[in-house]
Amino acid sequence: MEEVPDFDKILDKASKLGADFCEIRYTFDKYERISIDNGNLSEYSSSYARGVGIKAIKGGSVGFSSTTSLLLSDLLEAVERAVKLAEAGRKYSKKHEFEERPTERVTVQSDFRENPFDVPPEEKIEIMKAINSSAEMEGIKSRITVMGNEDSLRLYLSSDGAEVQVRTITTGISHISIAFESGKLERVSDSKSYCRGYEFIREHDWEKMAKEVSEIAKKAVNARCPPPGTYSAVISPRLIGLLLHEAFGHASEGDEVYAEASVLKGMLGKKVASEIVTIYDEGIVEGGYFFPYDDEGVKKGRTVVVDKGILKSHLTSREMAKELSLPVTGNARAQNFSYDVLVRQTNFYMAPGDMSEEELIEGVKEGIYVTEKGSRGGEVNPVLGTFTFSGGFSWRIKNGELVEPLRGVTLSGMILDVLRSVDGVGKEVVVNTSVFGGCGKEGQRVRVGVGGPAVRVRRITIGGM
Amino acid sequence: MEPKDFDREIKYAEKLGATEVDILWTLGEKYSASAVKGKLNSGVYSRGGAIGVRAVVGKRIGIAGGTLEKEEDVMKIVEKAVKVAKVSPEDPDWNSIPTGLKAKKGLEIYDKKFDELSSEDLIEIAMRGVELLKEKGTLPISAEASAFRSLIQVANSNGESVYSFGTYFALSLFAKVKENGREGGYSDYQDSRRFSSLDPEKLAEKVAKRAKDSCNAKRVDTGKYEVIFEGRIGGRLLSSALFPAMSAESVQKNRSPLKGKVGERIFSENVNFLENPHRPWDPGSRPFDGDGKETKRYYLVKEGILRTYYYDDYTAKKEGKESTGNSHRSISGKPRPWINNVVFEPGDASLEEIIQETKRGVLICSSIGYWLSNPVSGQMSGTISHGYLISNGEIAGVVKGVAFADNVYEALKERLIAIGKELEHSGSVLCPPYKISGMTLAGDRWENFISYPFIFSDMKLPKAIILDLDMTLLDTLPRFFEIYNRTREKFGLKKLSKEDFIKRFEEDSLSEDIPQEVLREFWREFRRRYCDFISEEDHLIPGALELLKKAKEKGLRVIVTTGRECLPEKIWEELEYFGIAEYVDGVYTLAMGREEDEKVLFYRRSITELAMKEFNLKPEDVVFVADYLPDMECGRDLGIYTIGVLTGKKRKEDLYCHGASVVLKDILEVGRHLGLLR
Repeated sequence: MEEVPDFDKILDKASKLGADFCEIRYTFDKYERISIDNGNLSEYSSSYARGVGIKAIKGGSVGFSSTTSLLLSDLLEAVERAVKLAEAGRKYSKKHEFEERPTERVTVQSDFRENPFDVPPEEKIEIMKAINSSAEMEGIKSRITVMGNEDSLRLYLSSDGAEVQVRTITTGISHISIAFESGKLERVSDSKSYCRGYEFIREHDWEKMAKEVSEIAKKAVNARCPPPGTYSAVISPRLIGLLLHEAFGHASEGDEVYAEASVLKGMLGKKVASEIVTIYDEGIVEGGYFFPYDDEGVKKGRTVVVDKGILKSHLTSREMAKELSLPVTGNARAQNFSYDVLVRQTNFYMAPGDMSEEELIEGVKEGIYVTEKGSRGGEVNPVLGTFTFSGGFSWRIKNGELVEPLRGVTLSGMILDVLRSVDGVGKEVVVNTSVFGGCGKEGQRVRVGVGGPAVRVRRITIGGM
Repeated sequence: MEPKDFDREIKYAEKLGATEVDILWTLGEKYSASAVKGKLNSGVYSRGGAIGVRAVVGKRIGIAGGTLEKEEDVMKIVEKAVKVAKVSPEDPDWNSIPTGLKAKKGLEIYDKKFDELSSEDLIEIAMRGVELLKEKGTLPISAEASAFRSLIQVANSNGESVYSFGTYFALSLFAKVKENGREGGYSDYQDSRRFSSLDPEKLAEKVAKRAKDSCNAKRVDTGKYEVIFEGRIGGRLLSSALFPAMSAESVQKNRSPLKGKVGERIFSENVNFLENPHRPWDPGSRPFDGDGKETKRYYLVKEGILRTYYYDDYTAKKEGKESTGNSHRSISGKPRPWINNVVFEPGDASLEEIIQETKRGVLICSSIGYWLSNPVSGQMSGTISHGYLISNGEIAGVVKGVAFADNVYEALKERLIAIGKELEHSGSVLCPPYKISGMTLAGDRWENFISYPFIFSDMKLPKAIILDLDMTLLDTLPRFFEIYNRTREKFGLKKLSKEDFIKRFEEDSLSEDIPQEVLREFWREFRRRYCDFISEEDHLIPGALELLKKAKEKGLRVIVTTGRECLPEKIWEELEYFGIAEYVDGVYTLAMGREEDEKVLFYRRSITELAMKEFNLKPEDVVFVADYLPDMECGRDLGIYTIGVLTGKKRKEDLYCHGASVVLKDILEVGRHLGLLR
C-alpha cells in the first residue's frame, strides 16, 4: 500500500472536539479501460480516485465531510467540519444509534496471481484486438470489445479501535455486436468478470464468447417481438439474478424498510415466494464480488433472506440493525470516500433447486425462455414492488421446445406475484459480478454479484413492441 | 478556487515525448443535507479536485486521470498518459487536439448566492421541505437539499486555456400517504443553477397531491390510448430513445438509424429541437465543452427535418467539419459527443387544454425503466409509476404499473397530435408535454392482445361456461332487423333499409337517432318483443352444437344468459327448437335482473351474478363467452375470464378495450382455445 496519512491524529482530533464516535474511510480505486471499436483501439484510459471520508457522531447527530486531499492540515479541517456539521444538525436530527459489532483489526485481499495493472499495455491491446476481430462476420455492422481492470482498496478505521482493510482486484471483458439487416439494427452483448488477476483473462476463451455474440445478434435482428401478454416463462440464471437483485434485493435493504419505502415492510416471517425459493446475500461466493467485510468493519457472512418462501431477514447496517431490532448483517457500503454508507446488497442470489434447465423448459406448453444476452438491466419501484426489466435475446417455447427466437422482450410486474408463481428451480447456480457496472442507489455505485439457477414462473407480464 | 497555469505539466509531457497534450481540470465544493422519515439524517460537506490528461504521440493517444491530492500527483498522471500513448496503436482518424479554445461570454451560470451559503442553510431547506410535506398531510419519507459549485478548466499544448465557474442547486422530496388501508407515494425534484429557482412550497404541493392520488392508482386495460407525456418524463424518453442516435459518433460507427438522413423529414413538421446551451440558469448551459470549444446555439431538427448531428472536435474533424461544441468528457475517459441543453420547442396549448381534448387517454407523469429505451432501434418504453386516466377530456382515475411501448420515429412523425407550452427540464433536455395517439399500453387483461399464435398457457378447464345467446350461439340477425324496425315504427321513427341497419349494427350506432328520453324505453320494448317469433333465417352458429355437446361431456355446467327481456321458459322453447336445450343447465334473461343495475344498456351483471350464485360458482371457475361490448365490461367487472367472439360483428380492438381477456373468431375457436374441440 502507498503511504497513508496518520489517521490516529484525525481520530484524536475528533475526540478532542467532543465527538462521541468517529469513523474514517480511506479508499483508493484504480481503474483501467481498454476499448476496441471495429478493430481499432478507441480508448485506453486509466484513472484513480483516492480520498478520505470522515463521519462524526455527536449527541446522536451525524456530520460527514470528505476531501481528495491527503495533507494532514486538510484532513484536520475536514474532521472539524464533520463535527461542526453534527453540531449544526442537532436541532432537527434523528437520534442515530448503532448496534454493537466486534471491533476487528484485519487485512484481507482477493486471490490473484498476476496483477492486471502490471501486464504491459501493448499485450492487453493485442488480446483485445484478436477478440474483437473474431466477432467480425457478414451482417455485423459494429463490434465493441472492452476490458476493465480494477484495483480497489478500502480502509476503515473507527474511534473504537476497528481497523479493516480490504483489497479487491477484478478483471473482465465485455463484447457488443450490432447486426444490421433490411433496415433493422439489433444489439446483443455478453460479458464476464471475475475477482481474480489477469490469469482469468488468459484462461478464458474470449474469442468464442465474442463470436457467439455476433451469431446471436444476427439471429436476433430477424426475430419478432412477442406481443405484450402474460406468459409462462423460463428465466436464465443471470437474468433471474438481475431481476432478484433489482426487484427483491432492494426491497430487502434495511434502510428502505425503515423509511417505509419497501414492499417487504412488515413481512418478516411471512410467505413472500413459492416454497421452492430460497435467497441468500453472501460476502464471498464463487464467481461473485469479493466482499469479506463491509464499510463499517463488519464481517459479511451468509444472510438467509428467504428460506423456503418465508422472509427471514432484511439486510442491515449497524444503524438499521438497531432501528429494526435485527442482527447486523454486514451490508453497510459506500461507493468510495466521498459518500456515507447506505444499506446495499453484496452477492444476492437464489439457492439451487432440483431441476435441469431442459426439464424447466419441457414443462412449458406455451411461453418464453428469456436470457440476459443483450439485457440492459432494469428498474424497480421498491415501495410498490413493481419492476420493469429488459430481457436479452429470447426464445418462444412451444410444447416444451424452443421454437422461435424473439427480441425486444421486456419483463414487468409485481415481484411478489412473480416469486409466488415460481414453480420450478434449476439445480445449477451461476453467480456473476461485473467490472463494468454495478448497482446504483442514491447516486452511489457499488460492485455486486448476482445470480441464481434458471427459474420457471407461471405468470409474468411481458411487454414488447 | 482559482484557475491554474498548466505550463509546467504540459512541458513535462512534451519532454516525455508527447507531441500534443490537453488537460481537463475540475474542482468542486458541495454542501448537502438529507432527512429521513421527518428527521435530519446528516449534514455533508465535500471538496475535491480531479484532473484528466490526454497525451498524444503522433497519432497515438493515451488518457489518464485521477483525484488531486498534491502537486506531484499531476505529474504522475501526465507520465501515465504519455506511457499509454506510446504503446497504443495509431488512430488513423486522429487529426489534432482541439485548438481555438473559446468560452461564450456572459452566460448566467454562477449564482453568487452560493458564496453566502452555509451547511446550516442546507439543513434548513431540507427541513422546510419536510415541514411542508407534513403540513400537507403526508409522511415525509425523505428530503435532500444540495448546493454545488465548480471550476472547470481546459488547457492545451497550443498555449490556450479556458475556464468557468458554475453553481448548481437541487431539492428532492419523497412523501407517502396511507389512506383507508391503501398506500401511495410520490417523489420529485427541482434543480437549477440559480438558488432562487428552488421553490420548496411548489414542489411539496405537487409531491403531496400526487402521493395522495397514487393511493387510488390502478392498472388500466391493455389497449391503444392517446398518451400525453409530461415534460420531464417526455424529455427523459427522448434522451434515451432518440438523442443518442443524433450523435455523430453513433452515426460514424453505424449505430444510428439516422445515418444518411440529414436534410430528410424525420418527424412531424411541428417538431423543432434547438440546442441552446446559453439559456440562463439551465443546468445544461455552459460556455465551452469538454474539448474547450465554444458551445453553440443551433437546430438539430427544424420543422421536422434533421438539420445536423451533434459533434465533438474529434468526430467533426473526421468529416472535415467544425465541432458543434458538444464534447462531454470525464477526467478518466475519452471525450464523446452528447447534447448540452436541447429544447423541444413548445406549442401553444396548455397541458389542461390538451387533456380537455383527449377522449380516452393516459397522462404519464413518471416512469421507471424509461432508460431501457433503445436508441439503436428507436424503441421507447417504460412502466408508468404515476399517471392519470383521461376520459372525455377529464381526469378519470390514477394509473400505475402499466407498460408503454412505441417507436419514437413513428410516434413523432405519424402520431404526434399536440405539443404543449409548459417546458420542464430533465438533465440535458427541456421538454413540453406532448401527445401521441394510438400508443399501446399493456396493463390488465392483455392476454393475446395482438393476434398471435400464443394461447393462454395455463388455462385449466373451467367448471362452467356462460354463453350469450344471440350472435354468440344463435345467428338471429334477420330477426333482430325485423324487430328493430317494428320497434322504430312504434316509436314513430322511419324504418331502416337492411343495408343501413347492418352498417349501424356493425358501428354500434343503432341508438343514434333515437331520442335520448325514450332510449331506455325503446330498447326495453325491443327486448320484450325478441321472443315474439323465430325468423326462418335464424340459425345456430357453426360449432355451437359441438361445443355444447363436448362441454357437457366433460362435465362443465353450461349456462345461457341473454339480454332479451322475457321469461326463461320462452328461451328454453327456443333452445329446444334449435336442438341444444339438452346441453344447457340454466337460462337467465334480463327479465330476471334488477333494472337499476343496467349501468349501460344491455349490461347484465346482476343476472350473471345470479347464475353464479345459483350454481355456486366463483369467478375463477367460469369462462364467459359473448359478442357485445357491455358483456365484456360485465365479465371484467366480475373478474371472469371473458372471451369475445367476432360473430357479433364488433371490432376486435373494441372488444379488448371493453375488457375481453381474449378475442376469438367464433364459438368454434372458443372450443379449440379451451381445449374442448380439435
